[in-house]
Amino acid sequence: MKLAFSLFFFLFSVVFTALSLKFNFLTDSGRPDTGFFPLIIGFGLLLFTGLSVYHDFKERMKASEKSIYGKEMVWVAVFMTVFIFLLNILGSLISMILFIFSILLLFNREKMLQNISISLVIPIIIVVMFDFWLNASLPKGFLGFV
Amino acid sequence: MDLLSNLALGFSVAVTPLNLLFVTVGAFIGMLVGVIPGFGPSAGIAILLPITLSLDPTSAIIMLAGIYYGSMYGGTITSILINTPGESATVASTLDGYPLARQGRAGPALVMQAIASFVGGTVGVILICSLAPWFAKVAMSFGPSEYFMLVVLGLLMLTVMMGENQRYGIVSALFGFAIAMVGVDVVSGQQRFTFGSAELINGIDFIPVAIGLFGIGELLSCVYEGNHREKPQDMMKVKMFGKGFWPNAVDYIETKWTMFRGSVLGFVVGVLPGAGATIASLMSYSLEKKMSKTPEKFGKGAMAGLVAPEAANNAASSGAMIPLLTLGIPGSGSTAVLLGAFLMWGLQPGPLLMIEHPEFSWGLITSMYMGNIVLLLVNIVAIPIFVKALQVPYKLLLPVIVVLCVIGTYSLHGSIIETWIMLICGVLGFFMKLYGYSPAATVLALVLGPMAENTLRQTLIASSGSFSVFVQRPVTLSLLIIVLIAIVFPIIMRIINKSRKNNRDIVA
Amino acid sequence: MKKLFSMSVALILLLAVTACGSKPAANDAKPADQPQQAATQPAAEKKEEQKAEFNYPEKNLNWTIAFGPGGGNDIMSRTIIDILKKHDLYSKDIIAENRQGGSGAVGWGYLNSHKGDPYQISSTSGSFITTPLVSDPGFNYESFTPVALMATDDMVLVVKGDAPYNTLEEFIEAAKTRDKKMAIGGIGAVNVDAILPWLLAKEAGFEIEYVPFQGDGENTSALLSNSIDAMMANPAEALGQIQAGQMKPLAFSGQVRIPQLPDVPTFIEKGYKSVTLPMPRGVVLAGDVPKEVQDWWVDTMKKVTETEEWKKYINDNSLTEYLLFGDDFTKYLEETNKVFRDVLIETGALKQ
Repeated sequence: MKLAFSLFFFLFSVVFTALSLKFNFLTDSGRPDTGFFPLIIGFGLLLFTGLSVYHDFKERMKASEKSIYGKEMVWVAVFMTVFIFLLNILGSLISMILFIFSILLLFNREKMLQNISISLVIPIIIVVMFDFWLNASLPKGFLGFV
Repeated sequence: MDLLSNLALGFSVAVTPLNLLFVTVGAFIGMLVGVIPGFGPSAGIAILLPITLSLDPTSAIIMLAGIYYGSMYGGTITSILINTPGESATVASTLDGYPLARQGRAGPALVMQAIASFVGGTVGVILICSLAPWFAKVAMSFGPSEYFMLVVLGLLMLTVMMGENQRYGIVSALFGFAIAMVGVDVVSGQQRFTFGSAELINGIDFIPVAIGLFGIGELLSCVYEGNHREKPQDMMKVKMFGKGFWPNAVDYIETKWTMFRGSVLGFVVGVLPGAGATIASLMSYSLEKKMSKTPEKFGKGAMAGLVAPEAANNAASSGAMIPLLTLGIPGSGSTAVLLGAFLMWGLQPGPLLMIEHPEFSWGLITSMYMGNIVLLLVNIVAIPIFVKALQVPYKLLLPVIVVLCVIGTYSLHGSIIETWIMLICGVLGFFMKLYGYSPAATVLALVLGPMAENTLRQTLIASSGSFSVFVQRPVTLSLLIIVLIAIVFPIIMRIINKSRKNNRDIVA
Repeated sequence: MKKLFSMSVALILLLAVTACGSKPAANDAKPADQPQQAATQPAAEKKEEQKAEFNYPEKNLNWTIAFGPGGGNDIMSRTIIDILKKHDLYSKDIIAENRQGGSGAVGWGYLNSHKGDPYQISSTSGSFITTPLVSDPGFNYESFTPVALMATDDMVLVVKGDAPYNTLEEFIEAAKTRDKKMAIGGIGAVNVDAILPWLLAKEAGFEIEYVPFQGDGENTSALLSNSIDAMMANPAEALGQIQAGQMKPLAFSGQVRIPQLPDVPTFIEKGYKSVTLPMPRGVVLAGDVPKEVQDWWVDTMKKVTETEEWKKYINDNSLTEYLLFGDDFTKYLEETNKVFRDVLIETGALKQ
């Protein structure tokens, strides 16, 4: 896994450097142009992510500690993705209620009454605070309300 | 006695029952807004500015001073409790603040940061009153070439907080530089890596990246470690008003000088418009780490590691008032909003502001100080409540933190793209923490990178391409020498240590 | 039991947050014409069919400010909103929102995505022309329904207070004789700030280095620290420095002098006829709105320009009043767009 993460950064470096190549490195008068910093950063990244990949590959056999909660973490991340995705479809209030309720359903199944009250009260408080008091923008759904 | 008469004038404006009420109300709202992830001082001021518009300028600025400090304190609270900095200047505070909270020392950490901030503010006010004209001259000698050297110095400090694996640390910093390149290149006007998206034209903002890498990353790693399955008392042991709630004598003794060093350093760097507070907190943190007898404790919950950046960033925010009031130059996002407010009230920013409107300028300075005092009191009262919130089982706290992070990020600019960036950074932040990369290096590089690029290129355009400007300007040259010393000194020390060790080996 | 207790603490905490939140807002409700107060009502955004008889306004107005709080565009928008409210020119609420980013690309992009909605409005500035030209954000000035040009913004060329030149002639003379090119600072790379010095250099026959900065603060500190030789400044922002003697104004880019700087000649007076490029400060609606709505707004903005508050705003911010309504504004935008385009192509900033 550690190797995969190093590889991810290495791939990022490759793409970043490749994209940087299309910018001018120096201006006609020999000064740093648009591509100067991106290219230097790109090559620096290639060098150091390359080194990381090499080292992590050498050490790939080292046992890495596995967490029994890895699966649950993935669930949280997936729920977050769905939550953000729903913001502009269902509006923030309903999305928040659904998100909080699903997470609690996952971790706190035994206390349904508590779950329901939290997932209703917190989103309402947040909407009141952001929309009415702070007058900050909240994502609106299809139906045109927060 | 200029100092005393100035202060007296300021206090006569700020210390009226009504204005005290304004500063208290402002401090309170500011703190509540600052606690929302993503809402640091500049967002806090911007969002609450309209509330003050109907007041007369002096009361309005007094309330804004309260809001300013309140949101700064609020941002630090989230840095310590949920590892989510509200602005770049509090990134350094998370490094030791959050570990302290994890060790069950959230109470002492919050109290100490409040005291450090208070000391920072006090030193700041004293320095403003006594040396404002002199510091204004210093600020006036800073152009692009000086800023470039300053940023280089800041980048050198970055290496101090890269963590144990230097290679990963460098990758983290370079990654921050890389994403900083997104958006319009200020110097050429060309777009870089925007892929045709209008929302990326302005680049990737610090806030979603910081909330993602720190807040969400930490949250995911807490789940990974199973915090949500534990009873709260196992996770964060906090005793209410018990022995463990207040800082102990060791905390005070260890950080006594840290506070003053941090405050003075913070003020001096904060005077320079630009990334003053960020660089100040960085420098202060690394200075303390360098001076500490136990540098290995830094990053694992050293009180000095929290006190140093906190004293520095608070003093820096007083320092930032000098270019704002004496030169009309805004040094940070928050002071830029304040400057806009000056114009809205029909006040002409510039060197004459302090002369033509002394009651306003000194009223602002003293009310910032009043804000500090009020916040120290409010904090001591409010800390138990915040600490208590940590005793809510993590499984119940978790969805609420996520919702606040997501909604906070979205409502900052009303951008769904930034919300996605936050989520992606959250996943990245989890892996970075897991494998020993340095999220702090990434976000600080994101802030400092564009400054380094722009100032270097501006310098070279203004000098028609000649590098001689770096040695011709005295301030630039002095900074260059400091940078060289900062690079060479550790190397020499290492060589000396090595040869000593060798000698000893030979003798032995 | 313990969990119940912790939970109630959490709830009380959150309730306290909101309760405290509403308290100060209530305190502040006392003073009259609170700008934000009215805006706290949520907007009803559901679109309705356009009715046969003209009934406007029936809903809250969404005012997009394409720049951050405290900037020139923000101040103008909020001034107009205040006037609209104070004089009851708009009977429903007005919700102002800062949608900054990409030199206006984000805000005006938002307005552009609400084509046909008569309750979406925004204000313009110089970037309204330049941003679509250089960064292809998917809209240009033709994408919107023009209401009114209210004023124009011009810039002043300033040097440091102790600079060896006191007039434009001396500055140009020095530029021609010395070895090093004059370094002139401004905000942004492809902006009026960059075009004006370029036009001057071309017409007067000397060479410059244009140094782009991100904001006014950086620009000012570069000048005060002797890093650059001159800068293009917004008169409102430089006035304080000029009065204090930190900066010397050499020439103004407007058609005529402004009252705040009565002794500063225009470039035109000095014979540099091309060095003027007014930036439009106006109001536009979303594209494709009914003609009646456009007319309604033209009438309303006429009323706004007659108020005392508006006159004070123009004066406080060193703007030049320049009124054009409806189609005249369109024509103006067309011409300005052409001038900007030609110059940008000539400077090489825009590739054709």
